[in-house]
Amino acid sequence: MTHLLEVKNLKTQFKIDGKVMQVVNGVSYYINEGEIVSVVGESGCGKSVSQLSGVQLIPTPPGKIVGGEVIFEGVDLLKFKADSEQMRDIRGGKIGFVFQEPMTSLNPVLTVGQQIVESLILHLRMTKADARIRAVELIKMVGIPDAKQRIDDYPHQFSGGMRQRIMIAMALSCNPKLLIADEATTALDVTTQAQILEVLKNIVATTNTSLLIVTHNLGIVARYAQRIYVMYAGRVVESGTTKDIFSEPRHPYTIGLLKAVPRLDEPKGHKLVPIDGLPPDLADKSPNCAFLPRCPYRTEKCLEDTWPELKQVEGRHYAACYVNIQRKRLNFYVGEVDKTKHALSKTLDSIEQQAISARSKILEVKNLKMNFPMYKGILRSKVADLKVIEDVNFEINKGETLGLVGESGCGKTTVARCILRLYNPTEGQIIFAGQDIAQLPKNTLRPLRRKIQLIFQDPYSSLNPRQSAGSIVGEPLKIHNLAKNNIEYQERVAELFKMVGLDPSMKDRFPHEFSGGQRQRIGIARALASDPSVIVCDEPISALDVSIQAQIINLLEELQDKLGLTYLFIAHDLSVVRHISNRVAVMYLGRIVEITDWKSLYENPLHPYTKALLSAVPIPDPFVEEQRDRIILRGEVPSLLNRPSGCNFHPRCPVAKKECSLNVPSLSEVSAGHKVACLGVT
Amino acid sequence: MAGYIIRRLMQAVVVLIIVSFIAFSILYVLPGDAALIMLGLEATPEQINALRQELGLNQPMLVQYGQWFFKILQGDFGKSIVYRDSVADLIGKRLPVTFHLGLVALIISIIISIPAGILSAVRRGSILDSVITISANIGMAIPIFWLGILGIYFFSLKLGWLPVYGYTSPFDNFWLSTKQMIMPAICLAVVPMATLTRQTRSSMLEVIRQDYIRTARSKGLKERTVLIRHALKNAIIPIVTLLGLQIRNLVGGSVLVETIFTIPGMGRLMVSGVFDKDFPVVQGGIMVIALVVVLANLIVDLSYGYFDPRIRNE
Amino acid sequence: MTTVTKQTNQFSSQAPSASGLWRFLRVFLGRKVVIFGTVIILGLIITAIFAPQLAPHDPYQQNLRSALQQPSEQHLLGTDQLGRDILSRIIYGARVSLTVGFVSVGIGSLLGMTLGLLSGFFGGFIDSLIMRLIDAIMAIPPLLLALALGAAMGGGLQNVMISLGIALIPGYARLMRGQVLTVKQMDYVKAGEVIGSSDFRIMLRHILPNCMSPLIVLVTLNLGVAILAEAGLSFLGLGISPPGAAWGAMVSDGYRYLLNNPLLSFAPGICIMLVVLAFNLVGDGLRDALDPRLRGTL
Repeated sequence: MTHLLEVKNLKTQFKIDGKVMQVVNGVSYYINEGEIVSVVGESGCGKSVSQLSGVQLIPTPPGKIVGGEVIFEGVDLLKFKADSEQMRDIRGGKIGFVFQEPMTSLNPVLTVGQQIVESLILHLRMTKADARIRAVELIKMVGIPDAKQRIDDYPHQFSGGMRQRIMIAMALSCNPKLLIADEATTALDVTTQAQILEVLKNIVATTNTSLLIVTHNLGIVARYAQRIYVMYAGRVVESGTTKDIFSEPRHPYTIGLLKAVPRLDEPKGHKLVPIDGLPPDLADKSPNCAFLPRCPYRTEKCLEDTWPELKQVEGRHYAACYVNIQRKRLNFYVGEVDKTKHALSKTLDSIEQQAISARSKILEVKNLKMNFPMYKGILRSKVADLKVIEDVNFEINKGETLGLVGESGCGKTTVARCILRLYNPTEGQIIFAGQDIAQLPKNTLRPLRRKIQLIFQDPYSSLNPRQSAGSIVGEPLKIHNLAKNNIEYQERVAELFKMVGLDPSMKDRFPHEFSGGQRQRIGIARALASDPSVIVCDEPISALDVSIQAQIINLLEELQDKLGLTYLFIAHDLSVVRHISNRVAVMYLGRIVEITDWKSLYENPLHPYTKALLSAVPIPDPFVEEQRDRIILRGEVPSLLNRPSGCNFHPRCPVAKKECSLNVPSLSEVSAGHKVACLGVT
Repeated sequence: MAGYIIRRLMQAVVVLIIVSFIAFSILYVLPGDAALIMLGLEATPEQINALRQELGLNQPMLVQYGQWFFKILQGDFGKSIVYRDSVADLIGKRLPVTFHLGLVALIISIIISIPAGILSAVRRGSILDSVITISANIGMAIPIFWLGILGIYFFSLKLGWLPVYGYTSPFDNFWLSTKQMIMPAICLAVVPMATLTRQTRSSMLEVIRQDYIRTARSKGLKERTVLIRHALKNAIIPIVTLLGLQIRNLVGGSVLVETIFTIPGMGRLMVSGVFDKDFPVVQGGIMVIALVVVLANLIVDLSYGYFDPRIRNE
Repeated sequence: MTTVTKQTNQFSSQAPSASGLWRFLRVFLGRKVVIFGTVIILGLIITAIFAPQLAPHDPYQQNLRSALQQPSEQHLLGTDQLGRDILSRIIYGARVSLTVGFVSVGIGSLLGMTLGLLSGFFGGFIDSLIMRLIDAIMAIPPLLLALALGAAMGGGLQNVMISLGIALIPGYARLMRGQVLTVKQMDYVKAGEVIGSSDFRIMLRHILPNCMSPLIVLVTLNLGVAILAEAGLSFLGLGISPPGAAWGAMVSDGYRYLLNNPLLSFAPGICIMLVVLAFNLVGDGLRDALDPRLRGTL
């Protein structure tokens, strides 16, 4: 059987800063008609570059395809020149692309309609009038409301999720045989991601278009892909059907990934096993297996020989490894034998929970409101208030971790900023260390700042590029006069470095000399410097690679045990939040809709939004995924300017009743420690 | 959009008021008696007094400013000390000349620099790119007046192709007017050309890196379509900003060009006004020039809405 | 915990090769044109400082009998209309150009950067006021501004420097303001606030150092602009008064004697062009070398 697309031994180089990097180092894969295949790996593994090389879209000054064949419908595409008519026919006409960044992937000065129409005119030779009609049909198909009016709008007038739908419409406009989605949902919210992926799945089913999903998210792979290629350092290290790979991963990297990723269904206290070390250096010319430095299964043979070829394991399952690893899949289903263990762990959980509740409250937020003024008009006068946080109430006990989840626009980052007094809350109280710090003047606040700190999301913009790492970490010591002399100061800085797993000798280096994960450690050390009791973690791992995320999560947990810290852990990744938190609060459009301990939230969610949110998170296990229900929400998160009346969630709620549009539900206790804000529940 | 326009208009008005204050107070930065300086040392006390009366120099400064400003609004810029004509008349005769010169220079620079910049960006690293970039660099370094003199030396004195000086209105004698315009306009155009070429080049390079260009290519569009329809349309936005700045340079540069080629425009009027200490001319001139520059910038800013749809809804 | 520490040592061996300064020099001097420009600027500075030692004749020495001579062994570039040696006058002219360049850019940059910093940091009314003032200065072409101020205050060198300085203020103010506004959004500035830094400390330690790169580039480019402007002004008759030697004035003088000895006009003009070109090239080189996108893993 001939494949629709077969890539054989593709090699692509990039020359940067004088160094030659072998970004794609002999990659082979294929995809048949109507299949959904996924190429999985972390950043830098070459998965995106492989796809772009296939259609000769890589920028050719630094990049160069140096070998291999890309056979599409029987013809080797690499024989054609990049700008040739044949290649351009394929691009857009036979192969469609959806890229990662919806905010920057559409031309801002052309209307959405113009951008779709030009494709139609070029490939399908439609007339302008016909093309326009077809364009309206297309964006309607992907779920854009009021298609006829919106066809003449500009990209900036759409949200991120809608722009991605438009990209999909554009990519599909000329009925391509293959659609390549390159991290297409990475930048989107979980519920939007679920919607988009369902749209793609339906299209594949109805039109028999092949879909190639490039991603780092193992959950998506488990839910949608039929076959997988796992890539590392520019090569395919394992390939096979989804079920084969998840049930019996053979390559140490794949095994490592599966062990490092938190799952919605793992037991509490399950330790993530990070992959040691750092991402590979692509300029390294050594012939050994690139995973060697990080591999827990390595043998003498690996040190002597070159990178192993892909060997057949069984059927269509291939792995590139010398070691014959026998591993069963991580099985969290409780069998007969494990029932007692399960009951015991349940008792332990509830004892722990009670112990935590018995501790004192360390931070309490009451009736928090945050508005931002909006200026419009001639004189820039204030016309309205952007109500980002409507009414937030919660408390955190000493030593516990409260997880705060929600999608973009829910206000969770704003809550963090209010607590840290980066904003002055419009209303409400923030009670910390016995005082209401919400409106405290900055000077009085300063000494209290010692005790409550923040870890930022972006490891790149949270460190001053012109300050040495040691100086960044030690600055709080200087500000609050915590070191009596220079010797003490240096000792403390070295201690902080060691605490976060960094070598103190690196304290004179500058941020750009560290990797993303290391920079985040510097940020954590800075937060620890003034010996705080509470640390607010604002999406501390979202910007990191999967294998590094586990390292940081483990570090945060260790530090909490060692130092007795209290965390407010803010994230959009529900699996991570579940892993690390004792209690979890779910936010939607500036309100908390549900708050309870982690177990109740994930096993017995009550709010319809929470249920939809949980259902939208894919679990990296195809067998589990098969059994799960999908709740796909309608529509998108509404803009804060058009807050729906009554319960903010009612327009999208699958079980909304008439009263939901009239009354605002308040957070009320339904069972011990479990509060929900839903008229259908209370 | 309407709000944006009105706000810009109001800002322009404020700016002009500040400029008028600056222009006016030049007289007051003077050490010594303004009237004496204007008339020179041979003037009699009666003449000085007469002038002081005429200019209202005996009154407090703010009052004088008010009177002067009020007159300006009515178009009365006073009388030139040297020419004894109304300043408004003088400016009226000179401004169109400078305008003609500036316009031709602007058109020349746009026609050459934008294609040059695009070519340079698209063929980055090639010999063509190097040539264009080096030319642009040199263009920014050349003293305009020196270039004019070089031009006169070669094209007028040695080769006799073009006239050395003079100005004729194109409505009177088009051919002669053009011959006289060639060298001055090119001299004036050099700096804007160089700047616009560099800006076009860097703007295009910046835009070509963007994600939406990759998207356009992934749709299989011809490279030419990608460059013009997608890249250029975005790159033009910062270039338009620069145009506003170039207008200011054109006015400034015209001072030098008009001096060398003896063209009776605003520039030369200002120079002679300065050296003759003819203050009404200098003040009036500054006001009018500032007005032209501010208006030009305003038009440029307003045209943004056409080029960048994101501004339209502001 | 121990496994983690082990890995950090492993990273040390993978550290990027060069330290910051080496890297900067490597990129900066990587292009030949930049080296060319640097050499010329150094030459200019040396010429200006050692003018008395380098000039073959006294630049003010008149000798009407040997006026307007062609280049000879005695006078490498010939003589001007008053018999003065052109080469010596050009060498001394370097002093004027350099002085005007540095002083006016000094004035403009210090005032402009301060205004920009205040404007960006405090925002609000202060920002609007400063920006309108800047717009007003920008509405008047610099040459004209210098002319007008020259008319008012007299045309001496000092006033030329002051007026050029004022004309340069807007460039710095706007750039600094833009930088401050961008940097203010950065998380590390917010981090500074969270750990308890005072406003002053944040401005000095976090904001200012991260704004400086493009400003340094602007200073270099403006040196060329200032020298060009000074030449224009001395061409028109402002600036240094005769018998002082300034390149622009020399070009103006030579205008009348083009047919006698064109070098009187050409030679100083070439010098102006080379010097300004040099500053532009070096400025561009600095911009590329300081570009954070080229820095390591950023």
